[in-house]
Amino acid sequence: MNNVNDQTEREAFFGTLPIMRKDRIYGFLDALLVLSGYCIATWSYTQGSYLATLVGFRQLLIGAFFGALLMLIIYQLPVILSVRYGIDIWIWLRTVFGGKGTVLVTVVIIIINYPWYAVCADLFASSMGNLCGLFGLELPEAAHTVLAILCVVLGTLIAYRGLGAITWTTRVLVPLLLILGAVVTVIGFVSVPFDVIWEFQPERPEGEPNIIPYIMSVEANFAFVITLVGGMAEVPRLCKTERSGYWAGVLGQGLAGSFFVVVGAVMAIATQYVTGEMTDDPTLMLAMFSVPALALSSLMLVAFANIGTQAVGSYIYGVMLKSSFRRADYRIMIVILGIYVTLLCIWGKIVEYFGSFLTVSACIYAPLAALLFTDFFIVRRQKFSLRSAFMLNGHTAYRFTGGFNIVGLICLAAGAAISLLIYDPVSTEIHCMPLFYLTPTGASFIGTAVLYFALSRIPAINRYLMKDRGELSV
Amino acid sequence: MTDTEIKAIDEETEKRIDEMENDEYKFPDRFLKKDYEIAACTALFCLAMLLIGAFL
Repeated sequence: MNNVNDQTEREAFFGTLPIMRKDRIYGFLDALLVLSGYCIATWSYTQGSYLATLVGFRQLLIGAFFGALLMLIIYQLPVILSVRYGIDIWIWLRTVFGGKGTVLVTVVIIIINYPWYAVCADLFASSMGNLCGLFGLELPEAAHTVLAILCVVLGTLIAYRGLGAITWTTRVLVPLLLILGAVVTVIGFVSVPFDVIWEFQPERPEGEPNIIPYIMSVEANFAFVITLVGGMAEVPRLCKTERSGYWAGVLGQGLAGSFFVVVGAVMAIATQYVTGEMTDDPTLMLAMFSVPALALSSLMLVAFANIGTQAVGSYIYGVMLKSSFRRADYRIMIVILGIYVTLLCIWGKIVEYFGSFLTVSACIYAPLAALLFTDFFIVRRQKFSLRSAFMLNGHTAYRFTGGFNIVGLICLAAGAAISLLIYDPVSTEIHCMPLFYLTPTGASFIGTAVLYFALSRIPAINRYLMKDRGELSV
Repeated sequence: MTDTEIKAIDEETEKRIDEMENDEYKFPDRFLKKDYEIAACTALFCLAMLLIGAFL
C-alpha cells in the first residue's frame, strides 16, 4: 500500500497528477525563495553589465525593475490556473497546440532554453578558477570543464533528492545571496565616487539617438524575464493560494532577479572606472574592491548560487518533460537533462554561441506566452476540459489534426516572424521603427495575441478550437 | 513505466478530477477582482515609469 502511495505522491510532485489543495506545500515565502533562488545566478551579472553598455545607470535601474515587472505581471497571469487545478501549464497547453504539438514545443523549448544552464555551469567554473587564482593556485585548462560538470552534477543531485532538498537549499542560499547583493552594492558605491555610478552614461557614437539603446535595454529586460515562461508553473502549482503562486513568480524574478541585474551593473561600472575595462565576473570585482575575508565568502556564495539555479532548473524542466513523456521517470529525465548540459560543457563553446541560442529562444517565448494568456483569459475564459487535457480515454477535444492544433502552431510561427521582421538580432538592424517602439518581444506578444483572438472569432476556426465546450466540468 | 502503472495513474487522475468536480471540494483561494486590480495598477505604474525613463 505504501508503495502505491509513494508512487502516487511521486507522480503528483514529479509528474503530471493534479495536486490537490490538501497536498500543497508552499506558502508565498517558500515559493518566493525557491523562485528567487532560480533567478539569482551569475547570469544576472552578465545581464547587468550588458545593460550598462546600452544605457545610463538611472535608465538601467528603471528598465531592470519596471520593465521586468511589467512583462512578468502580464505573462505570468495564467499561473493562477496552475495553482487552481494543481497542474503544469504544459497540460493546459494541449488546448493550444494539441497533444503531439505540445510534445514538439516542449522539446524545442528544452533544446533552446537549457543552454542557459551550461552558461551557468561555465560561470561557476570561471568563478571557482578565479577564486583559486586569488590564492595563487593556477588550475590547468581542463579543470574548467571539470568544475563546470561539477556544478551540473551537484545541481542535478539536489534535484534528484527532491523538493525537500530544493526548498532547504533555497531557504539557506537566497537570504544569504540577498544580503550579499546589498553588501556588494554598498561596496560598489563606496569604492568609487557616488556620482560615477549614479551619473554613469555609456560611450555612444556621436549623433546616435538615445531612444534606440533605451528600447534595446527594455527589450533585453523583457527577453530576460520571459525566458521563464516554459517553467513558470511547476513551483506555483504547489502553492496554497492563487495569489501566493502568482506573486511569488512575479516578485521572485521581478525584484530578486532584477536586484542582482542592477548589482551586476554597479560592479561593471565601478570596475570600468577603476581599471578602464568593464567586467561581468563578480569574482574579479569583489576581489578588487572587497576585504579578503568578505571577498572569499561572497565569492563562494555567488558560485554556489549557480548550483541552486541548476537544481531548481533541473526540477522545473524535468517535470515539464514528464508532462510530454509520461512513461519516463522524473529522475531519468533530470539525468538526461544533466547529460545534455554536460555535453554542452564539454563542447566548451556555449558562451561563444550563446547569442544565437538567445536569438532563437527570444523569438519563441513571446508568442508562447501570448498564446497561453489569450487562450486562458479571452478564448476559453478560464474554462477547459481537464479530462481532455489529460488525454484520458474517450476525451478527445484537444486531439485536433493528428495531435497538432494547426491554428496554435501557425500563431506561434507568426509571432516569431513578427519579432524577426521588426528587428534582426544578429545584424542588430531595425526593420520597422514604429513597431520597434513596442520592443520586438512586446510587439510579438501583442501581435500573436491579436492574431490568435481574431482567428478564434472565425466560426469554422472557433468550432475547431472549442470542441471542449460540451465537457466542461470544473 | 509499464502499462499497468500508466493505467493506475490515469485512474488516479480521473479520481482527482472527480474530486475537483464535487461541490464540496475547496479550490485554493481564488485570485480576486481586487488582485487583478492591484496587478493592473502595478502594470500601469511600471509602464508609466518606462515612459518616464525614455526622457531621462
